[in-house]
Amino acid sequence: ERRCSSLQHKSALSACVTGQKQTNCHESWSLSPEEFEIWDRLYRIKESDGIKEPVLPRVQFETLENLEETPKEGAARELSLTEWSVWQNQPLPTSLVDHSDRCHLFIRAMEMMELMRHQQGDCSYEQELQPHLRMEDVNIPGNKRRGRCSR
Amino acid sequence: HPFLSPQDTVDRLLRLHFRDGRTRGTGAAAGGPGRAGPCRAPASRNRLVLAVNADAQLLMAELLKVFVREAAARAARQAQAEDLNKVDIEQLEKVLPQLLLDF
Repeated sequence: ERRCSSLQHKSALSACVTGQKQTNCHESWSLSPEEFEIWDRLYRIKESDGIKEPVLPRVQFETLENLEETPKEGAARELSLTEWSVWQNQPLPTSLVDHSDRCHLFIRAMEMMELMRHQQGDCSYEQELQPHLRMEDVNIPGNKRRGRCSR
Repeated sequence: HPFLSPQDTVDRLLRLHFRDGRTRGTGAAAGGPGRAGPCRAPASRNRLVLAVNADAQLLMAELLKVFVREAAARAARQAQAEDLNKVDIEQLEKVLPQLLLDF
């Protein structure tokens, strides 16, 4: 039993290829028998390789109803987007594609968190912004006490 | 068909994920009326909601190539920076957050 079957969107080619002999179901969108042979030999992750199939984490909203069920991926290795967060407070090198605006925002936010990590007592960000607060700009909920930075 | 056609593959991959059955590639017949899908555009009632034409397929194929190359190049560069001669999953994980934000 191939592990590809645990993928949620079964890759079209494995669905095609594992079921029947690859020759009769080959269409121009899928691998040709020769290409399949190369993929199978060089790239396909097999049980004997001793490595887990990499999968991306699924989207999950903590405060909303989630439409997609989260499958239990026991045999897979979920790629982490947070494990190397210490690496993320500077732009990493690019090749052909430059960093986007939201990527730069992310890097700046990571930088800011790094700076605030060791802060104690009053929050410097709060102190910086507090003088500019105009009460008519904000919707004041029940209590009027200003919140403290809780980090 | 002796070889894989990038456009056909792209078209197939896109259609795997379209929510509305009437969102089609150029090869498919125009969709019939009825069955309002979630992404239906109001302007196109009885026609295709959105067609992936050949140019768009080519563009998408190119985009996917660029994405793959970018991921590979950045991970390779990360391996270089760590003085490794082999890219492992760790190097990919390090470049992944910024890579995904760029696409």
